[in-house]
Formats: sequence, C-alpha cells, structure tokens
Amino acid sequence: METDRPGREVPKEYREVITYLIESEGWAYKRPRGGGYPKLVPANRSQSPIKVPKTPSSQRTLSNWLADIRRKGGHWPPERK
Amino acid sequence: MRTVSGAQQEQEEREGVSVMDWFSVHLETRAPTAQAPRVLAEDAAADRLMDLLAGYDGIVSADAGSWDATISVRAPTTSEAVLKGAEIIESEASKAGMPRWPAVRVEAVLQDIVDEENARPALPDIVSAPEAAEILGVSPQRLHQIATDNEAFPEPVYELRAGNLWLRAAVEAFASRERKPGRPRSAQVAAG
Repeated sequence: METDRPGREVPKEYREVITYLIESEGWAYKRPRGGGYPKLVPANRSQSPIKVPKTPSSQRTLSNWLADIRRKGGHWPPERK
Repeated sequence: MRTVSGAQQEQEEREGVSVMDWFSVHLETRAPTAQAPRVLAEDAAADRLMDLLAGYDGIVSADAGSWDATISVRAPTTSEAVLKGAEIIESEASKAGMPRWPAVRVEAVLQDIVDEENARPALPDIVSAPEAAEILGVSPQRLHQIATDNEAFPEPVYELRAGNLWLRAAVEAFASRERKPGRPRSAQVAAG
C-alpha cells in the first residue's frame, strides 16, 4: 500500500510515531484530501484507520491516540527493555 | 465542551475535595452482520466526530463495517466513567452523522494506567540462540541440547527458518532456577 509521509500538517510528537510505524511496522499514512484529518492505516488492514489530530493537543489526547495504536497492533515505544 | 471545566478541577484540587479521576473511555461499534463490511462509515462524518470530541481529547477510527472512538472523562468510579463516556461518544456520533451501529465493546481505564501502559515497551524482549546461550553461560551447541532435552526449558515464542527465539525473561528464569545449589546433577545445566 502506498503511503504519504507526515509533514507539518500533524504535530511533531505525532510525526515521530507515524514515521516509525511506516518505516518499521508496515503502517501507512494518508494525508487528507481537502480539510479533513490525516489517517494512520494499521499494518493489519482489518483494523480501522486512526485519525490523527492536526493541531497540538493535550497529553491526554496523545495518550488516547497511542493507546489506540497499541490496540490496533502497533508498537510504541519501540525500544526493548 | 467539557462537563467539568479546568477551573473547577483546579478548585477541587486546591481544596483537596476531588473524588473524580480522569478515565480513558473506548467505545467500539460494528455494523450488524447483514450489513458488514459493505457499509462504510463516511470519512467526512468521522472527521466531524473528531471535531466534536476534540474537547474530550477524542480520537476516532473508522472503516467499512466498524468505527470506534476514545475520549477522556472525569468520573468518580470506573463504571460511571463507562456510562458517561459511552453516552458522550454515542450522542456526538449521532450529531456527526456516524452510522448507528451497536456498541460491541466499551471500556474505561484510569488515565494514569493508560499512561503507564503507553510508556512500557510494547515489543517483547526476545533472544536468539547465541544470546540465550550467553545467559546460561553455555556454548550454542550445548544450548541446542538443553532446549531439546530439558523439558523445563521454555518453549520458543517464534520458530523461524533462521532459528528459534525465546522470551528473555523466560530464559533468565530458567537460568536462575537451574543455577540453584542442591539440585540433582541430572537437572543442572552443565556447561558443555
């Protein structure tokens, strides 16, 4: 599946996670066509794409987003203990 | 719009009377079997739901036959967080024009616990045969023998063409058990 690369349309703390998931875990990223939200598509395509906030958001929003990524099979943080 | 304002929260915390905690509430819906996966949750509706849930730290996922959302709410108990969170998500989803599919899962987790879980590395710490041999202080050949002959040795979590992989914790636990003094010689891991 073709993927876009995350740019300034998403906050930095999200960009880092998206880049890792694209490069290391086979996820895909879709920039919005028009004014919508970008989408992060799980490597397991049976899982729903996750919307990505476009503006800097609260720590709780980032937490909820990361929890959703883990729920859909993504790994973050990637480091081994 | 939040149900509890930041100012109210600050006042509660100053007075030390807060009995409300933050919870992360996740609700998942699925289209009835007869519809799925032909029915698609409209992308524009999912975007509208993201906007409507922004004040609740919301995140939305949507695809053919299912959609889900996660928000943060303040509530005195987990069960009240489930009810409150589900009500907010369903109400806002209706306004956004999301499909009215039945909820198949609702869960509330203390936000602190979510943060702890998010901070923990999600990939298991695994080791190959040379690393497992190093943990046991034996040669790779001896490791192979132990893995084959000793029933107490952990099962590999992956069996690849390139070799087996084990959980590091399982190999370390085996090593510490086998190094205990006083075990019968036949059960000990003797360096090969």
